[in-house]
Amino acid sequence: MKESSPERLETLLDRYFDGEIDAESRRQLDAALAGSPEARARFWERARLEDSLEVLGRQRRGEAVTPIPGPPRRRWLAACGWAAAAAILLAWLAQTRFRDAGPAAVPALAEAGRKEEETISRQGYPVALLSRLVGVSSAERYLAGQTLAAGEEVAFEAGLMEIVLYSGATVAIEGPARFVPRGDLEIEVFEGSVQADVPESAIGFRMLLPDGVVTDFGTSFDLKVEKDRTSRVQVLDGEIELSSSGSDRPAKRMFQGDAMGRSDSGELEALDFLPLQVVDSLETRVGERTRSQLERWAATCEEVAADADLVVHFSLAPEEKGKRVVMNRAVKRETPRSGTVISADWSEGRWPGKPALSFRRPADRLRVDIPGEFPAATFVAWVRIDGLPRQYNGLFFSEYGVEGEVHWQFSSDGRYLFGVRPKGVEGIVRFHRAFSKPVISPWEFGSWRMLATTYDATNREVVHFVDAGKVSRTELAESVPLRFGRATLGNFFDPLAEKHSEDPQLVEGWSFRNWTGALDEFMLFSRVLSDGELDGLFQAGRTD
Amino acid sequence: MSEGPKTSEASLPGDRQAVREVQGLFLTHIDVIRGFIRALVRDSHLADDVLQETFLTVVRKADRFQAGTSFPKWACAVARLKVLECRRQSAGRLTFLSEEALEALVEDHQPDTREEHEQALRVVEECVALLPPSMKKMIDLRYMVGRKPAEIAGIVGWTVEAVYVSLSRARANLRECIEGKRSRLQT
Repeated sequence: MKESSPERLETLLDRYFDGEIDAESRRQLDAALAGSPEARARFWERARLEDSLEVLGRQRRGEAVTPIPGPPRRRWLAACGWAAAAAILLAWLAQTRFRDAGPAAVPALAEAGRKEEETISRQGYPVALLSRLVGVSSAERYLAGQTLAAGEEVAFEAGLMEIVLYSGATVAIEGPARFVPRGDLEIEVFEGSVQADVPESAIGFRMLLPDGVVTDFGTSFDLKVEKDRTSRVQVLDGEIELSSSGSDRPAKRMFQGDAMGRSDSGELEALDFLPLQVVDSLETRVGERTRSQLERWAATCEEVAADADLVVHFSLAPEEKGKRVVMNRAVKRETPRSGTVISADWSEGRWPGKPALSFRRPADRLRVDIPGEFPAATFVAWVRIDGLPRQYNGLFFSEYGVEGEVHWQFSSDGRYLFGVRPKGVEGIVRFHRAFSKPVISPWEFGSWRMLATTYDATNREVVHFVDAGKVSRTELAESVPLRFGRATLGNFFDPLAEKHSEDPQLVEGWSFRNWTGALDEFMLFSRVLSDGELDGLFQAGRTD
Repeated sequence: MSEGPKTSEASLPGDRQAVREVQGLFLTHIDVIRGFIRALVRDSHLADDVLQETFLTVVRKADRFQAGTSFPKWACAVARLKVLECRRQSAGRLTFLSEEALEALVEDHQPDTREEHEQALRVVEECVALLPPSMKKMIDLRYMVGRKPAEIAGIVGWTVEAVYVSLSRARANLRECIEGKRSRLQT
């Protein structure tokens, strides 16, 4: 009878496992399974295949549905012991317990696992931009452009910082200083000379002090905290309110030109109005620094140009701003002489007056044809990472399909993805891979970083650096001299149009790989630069 | 003994060592346990819930697990109850099999060891790679890209029926390949 034939059972199983079974078919399947051991054996066989295909699919998509995904994390779990693994599983359980409707659980889990795995993410929620800093000496490194979290303490011995709270209040601080942004309208200052500019959108902004609170009703005040005492508060413009902690006296209203300070006994007394000029000294020092750093950088460019192993150097000099063709400063080489800017806009670079190329649209790219074969190479790029929205965020790619093809890119979770095409294979294949752990998090988006990778075919070694600090080292399986051909900077070009119709995996995530941010400088050397040389480039190009 | 445990089973912390051991075992065998649940609970979010419930119960009852016996078997026995519970709570869901069919299936189920599970995965991966391109495309769309047959029909411009037929052939091909490899492994 047709109803119980093996073919009919297969159809029923197909519908069941595809999740598209109707009531009648399900009744038939129930009957078959309840009545026949063969049908049950077939069910479990089919279930096993279904499960394997699902697991493979998830692995391929890079998803993790349970906290034990692919091999890398498993190694990590083993290394950290089961207690940590169980803790992650529990964290995952807690998280998925409260999920709203479902699909969010999958990425949420991947996130949870990642946070446990890596330490580059910070606690707290973002409340402020660290917009500028100059001459800052501190135990922790701060980056202009980075994001500050609510509750995150910032401390430095000397120098100046400017932060912009998300309310629009701007605070300039001169060291020695210690402060904590508490929210978009509140900052706690333990030490330092501070100037706050409070626009209409931030009226009500509060500055918590060791001995009181300043509430700003717009527009500008400065103050100095030293030895747990507010030695001076003065109104540069507008109106503020100063209250004293531990006192039931009414808060004092102060107006433009008013100055007060707390004496050693803790009493408030009127002072002469003497603005601290924190913002003025910030502007002056930023201006001075820009000049000296630009000079230093230009000098280094000349030194680097003398290096016989420099293959490509796009310095993106001020006079090139707006141009479509940019010069290769590696003058010891005949080719390439230039690169071509496609679609990418010119924007401000590391320093005022120094241009950079912005990448954000799918077409934005810089093309350059680099002939030759390279058994060793060093890639150096000064970039601003404004985000990593793509599955692959492209920095530099060889011409697609050439022997010795190299891919230099970042994953959406901030890992270096470096790949080299295996010898003698064509088309879309699995590359030799040198991936790092996540090295960039959203907290540092918007800051200038020097990304560098060295490649040595002799010992098959790939080393990744961020700001000249080594972040990962990988030995590839095969020794492949690199070739670049008609290369692409800040993007990817994949010419295998016919493959797209054959392989359904080649979706937009594969083809759209533009960088999101800006490129200020790119260097390619035909040798492995030493740690010291990379540090030299970093010191010459850093902006802090 | 008057000092004996008075608390209810659910609130007993259990032997910490046993808890840790069982957590470890659960993580080791999670793929097998999840595979068991997924076969019986086709809604992936419900299946996640059942997996979580299973984990929590297994940990709570950690001291009941006897070292030396099969952990996947024990965990799947716990999961079975959770599946039935889930089925009852989601009454009317077409995707669940009848209780009778479920019980019969569970009765016959032999959980893989972790090695067998990984071995099976490798074999399937190899067999997918060996599929003719047109079949591979169907399998890729269905499992690697994760699309439903109706969506695939839209992508490739076929009727849904044609997609079913094509997927079914691809699976038959995979089955043959897997059996071939398995018999070779056994000899």
